[in-house]
Amino acid sequence: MAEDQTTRDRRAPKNPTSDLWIPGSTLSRRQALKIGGVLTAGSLLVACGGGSSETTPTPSGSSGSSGGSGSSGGSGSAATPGATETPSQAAGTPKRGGILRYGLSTDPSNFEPHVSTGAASGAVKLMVYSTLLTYDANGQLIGDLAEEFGWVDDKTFEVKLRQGVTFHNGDELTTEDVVFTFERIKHPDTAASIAGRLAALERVEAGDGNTVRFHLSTPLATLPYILAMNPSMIVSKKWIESGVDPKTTMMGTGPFKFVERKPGVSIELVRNENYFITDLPYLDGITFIPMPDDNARVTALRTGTVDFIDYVPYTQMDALAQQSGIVLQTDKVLGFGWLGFVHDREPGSDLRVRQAFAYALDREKMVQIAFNGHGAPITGGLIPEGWVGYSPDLEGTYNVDYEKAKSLLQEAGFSNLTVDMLTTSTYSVIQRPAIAAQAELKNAGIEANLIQEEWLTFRQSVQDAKYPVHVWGTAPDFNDPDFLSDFVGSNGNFAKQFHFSDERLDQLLTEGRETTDESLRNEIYHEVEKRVLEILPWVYLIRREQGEAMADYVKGYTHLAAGSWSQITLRETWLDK
Amino acid sequence: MTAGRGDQLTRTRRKQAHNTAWYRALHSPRVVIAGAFLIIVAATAIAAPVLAPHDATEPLTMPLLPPGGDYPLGTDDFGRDVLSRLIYAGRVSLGVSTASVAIATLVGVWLGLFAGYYRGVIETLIMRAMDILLSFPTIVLAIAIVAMLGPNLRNVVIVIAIVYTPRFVRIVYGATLSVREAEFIQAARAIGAEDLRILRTAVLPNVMAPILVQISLSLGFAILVETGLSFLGLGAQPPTPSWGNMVSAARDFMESNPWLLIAPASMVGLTILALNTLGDGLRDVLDPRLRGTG
Amino acid sequence: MTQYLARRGLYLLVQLLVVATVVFLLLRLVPGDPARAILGETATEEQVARVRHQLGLDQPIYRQYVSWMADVLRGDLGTSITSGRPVATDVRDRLGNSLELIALATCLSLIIGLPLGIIAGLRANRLPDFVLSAAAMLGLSLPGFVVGTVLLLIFALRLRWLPQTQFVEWSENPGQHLKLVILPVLTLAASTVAVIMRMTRSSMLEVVRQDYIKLARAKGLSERTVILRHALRNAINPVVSVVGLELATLLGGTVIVETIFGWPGLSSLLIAGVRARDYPVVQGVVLLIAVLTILINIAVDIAYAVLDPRIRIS
Repeated sequence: MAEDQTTRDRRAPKNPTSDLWIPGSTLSRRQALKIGGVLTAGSLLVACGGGSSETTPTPSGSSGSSGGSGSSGGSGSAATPGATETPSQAAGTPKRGGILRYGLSTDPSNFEPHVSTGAASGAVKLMVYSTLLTYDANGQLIGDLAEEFGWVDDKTFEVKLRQGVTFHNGDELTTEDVVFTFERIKHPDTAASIAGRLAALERVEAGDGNTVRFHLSTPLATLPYILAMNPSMIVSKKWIESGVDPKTTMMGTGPFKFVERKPGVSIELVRNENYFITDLPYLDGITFIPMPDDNARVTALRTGTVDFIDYVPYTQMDALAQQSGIVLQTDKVLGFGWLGFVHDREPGSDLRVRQAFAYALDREKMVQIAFNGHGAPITGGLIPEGWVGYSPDLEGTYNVDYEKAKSLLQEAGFSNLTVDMLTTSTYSVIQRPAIAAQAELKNAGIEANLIQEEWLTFRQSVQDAKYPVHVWGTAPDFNDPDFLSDFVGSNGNFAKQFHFSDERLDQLLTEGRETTDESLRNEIYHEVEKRVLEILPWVYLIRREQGEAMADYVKGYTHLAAGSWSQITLRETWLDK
Repeated sequence: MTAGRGDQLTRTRRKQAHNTAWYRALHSPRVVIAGAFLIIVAATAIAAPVLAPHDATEPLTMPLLPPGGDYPLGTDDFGRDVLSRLIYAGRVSLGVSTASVAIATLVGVWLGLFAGYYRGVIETLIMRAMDILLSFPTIVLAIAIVAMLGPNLRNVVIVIAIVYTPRFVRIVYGATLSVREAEFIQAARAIGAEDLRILRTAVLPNVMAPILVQISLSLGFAILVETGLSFLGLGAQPPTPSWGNMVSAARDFMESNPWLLIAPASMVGLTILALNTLGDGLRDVLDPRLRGTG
Repeated sequence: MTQYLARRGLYLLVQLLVVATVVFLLLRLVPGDPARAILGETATEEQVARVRHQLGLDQPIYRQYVSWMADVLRGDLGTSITSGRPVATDVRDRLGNSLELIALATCLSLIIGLPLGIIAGLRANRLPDFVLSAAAMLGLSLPGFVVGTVLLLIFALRLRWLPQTQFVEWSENPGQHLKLVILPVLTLAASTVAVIMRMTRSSMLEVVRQDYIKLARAKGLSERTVILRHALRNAINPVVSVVGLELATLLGGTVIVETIFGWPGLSSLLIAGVRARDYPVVQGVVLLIAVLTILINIAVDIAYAVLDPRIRIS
């Protein structure tokens, strides 16, 4: 407990809405670390001291030498001075009222709470449902439905529910609902997105009073982060069992109540008067308006048709940053792209070939070309600064070196390599780095035939290992380095597509999942990163800048660079007009 | 329609009329300008490797440079020379349009001839099949084909060809119907000439006029279709330039870098304008009754 | 007439059967799995397999086909795989929006295109003709999305006359709805006007040379009567057929306008459906479009006969 005490001292100032009780030892230290945050290339923010601003609001024409409206590559790097202050969006006293019109990048396919179908629908669902844990504006793990939470022992996690939380239909939230939720998630028919991550979860048990215990077959250090993921939202047992279709309607304990969905037109939410955090939310409602066309979405914000948009296209970031009355909040931490190989087939089976690809890319140039500077190169490990396992010492492992690439290819007997390289034409954030990579590879004598397929065809082709190399991009789905096991652990979805497995990595990843000690985990994931760069299951490309833009009267919103791209701070958002 | 009343005398007279009409058409300033423009564009496209100052697919420099200096039309969002891309794109756009219209013509003309000449079951089968094709949304066809076969130029050609085939069938079918009953064709049948030979030597030349007109108009519209497909990400795939994907990529930079849009959009507009003008000219000469269709 | 309609009706059924079969097979030939689409990137192969089973996609194709056909014959278009909503509900809302756009664009095109076409036809090869023909050419030569984006840029962004707000139904707020509909209709009409005008022009040109027009003039009828009563009536048929063709093309072809202006129509539903491999949605929409297209064709043929007594449908 003594150790716990010290770690707790280092913790950030507590969020007023949550008084954490942490019997175990893992969470507190972890929280001392700055999670996520825009640490763009060259930015040297120290990773402790909690409360500093995580994101980089770029008020257009803002004061300060950082000048957020730079033409190329600059707009994300304007860190707000004033460490303990929440971003400028929060300045002033919150006002109640108003409806936020939110330009949504995709028309959500459905509302199924336990299947994640992308960030856009996640944002909507998270306003209606609640999770046990969530993140505060600084990206730190806090209780949501959980009043207190922590480890009982290394295989038992306990959550104490808030008292008096009611669902939108008036029913009180009970421990039974929580137990039911996880039974539902574990049930194969649900095909829940986090079912795989919860493989070690044996049983969820309602304890005395309002506690719930998670019993694990093996230790699972990532559990708290899984409980903060969008697709672990708590549902009402009675409601689900009443036979409703949770794909078409929503009913939870969240800050807003679901009113109506008009497909392709809008999703309407109104304020939950009985939200369990007094005074929240500040808004009377949110209207999500699907605007899949990037241009239409940006135009809508600029003309004041909507107050807020997500997925600001990189092509418009500079223009938006320059426009008065509009604020941009982005990160360059989460979204990343990679080159994947089929490991049991030439030429990807040869380590030297994969290394040649890694050396053949001038990633600085790729950032310029693919995202007009709105991104960052990945020359070392993938884990972002501020996360467990962040390994700055690996930076520069694969700096561009065309000659080295050529000689490696020659050694492997593949000089003048011509290879089919698959990517998707559906998402420009994936396609553009692929085009940039194709041009770069040429410099090392690799002729990559770019094969561009429509999204689901692409996914099928990757699944079937139809082409030896592919370019893809995504973001970590949760806020822990264990997301790497999806890619390099032999049971990981992506690793299976690479036809890749490595015993050493499997062992390390398992260790990482089962270890609760922070510094040990740091070492383990550093080792993982090192091993990955050694044997190169995949080759990292570049990170992309990603974020939201809003009218300057929209206050209180914070772009969280937390792993699952939580938009929970919408509940604290208010309109200053 | 035009000819084909069977009367040799009328045909000769019409031929003479044609000759003067040709003369008039070829000396109409509109047609001359349109023709000259098309020849220049086509020649530029063919000579692209010689004429283009830079590589069209290689990122060369900073993205989004304004026009001037080494890059007369500036650079695009990948730092590629817009002028070179415009020139190479002409190859792709004209190539796609020519290839797809060629296929549509080849398939459509024969189907139309058969349907009009044989009538009966063949006619019903072909014409109803075309109705079905016409009632099938182009977009579904396009996405399905592209998703199945991948988005590349060959498949763009296939999509556009499928879209235009029924139009050719209908036009040729209509023309064939009226030619079919002509005496010289009945006569040829009576002396036992082979059907295919009759179709080739007697029917086809007499339905050529509307076909030529339709070709010239379709060439233009095919460019537009490619542009529309590019808008949906189904056209020529980057880094290969086509006018269509240049226009659609430029939409993002319409305010900051308008020349990115203006250059390829003008090429699309002017080329189609020229093709339509030429088509109208041809129609005036060959088949006044078809004027304005398309 | 009855016999004619009966035969066309029979053809319609056969055509629909073929369209249904083709779209059904085509969709299943397209790679990509609806189950994978609704489960997102993190889904495991086991999960995909299970959802395929839930959706009945693991059954043999002919079984799926038969059960779908049986449902369709009962008037049930099924349930969307992605949204979980009945296809019929989604299609109904979208169809209304699409038809509104198409009908308005066509009416506008007729209102502008017909008179201009007549003028151009009567003043053939003179200044008004050149000006109008050039304008029509422009409308025909520019890609729809260039026209749409430029309109948006000018009227919504620069002048702020027609801000593109969230879509509202006519019943909710007529004024707002009207504001929203203007730009998409103008974009669609840009090319339709041109088509109708050119057709009217050439048709008029053809007709005014005919003997009966000369006769009418010789009889001393007023120019107005000659044009409207005699010339136009005879010139209208090709125009009707072009309008029919345009209508049919627009039915599934307004996707660009819908995308640019955020108009929730049939085409965007169709595209989203194909992209997500939402079989029931795509099948339903394609069937609907096919029905409407064929009906339009029949209507055009009947209009021929009504407008021109010389033509007898058979």
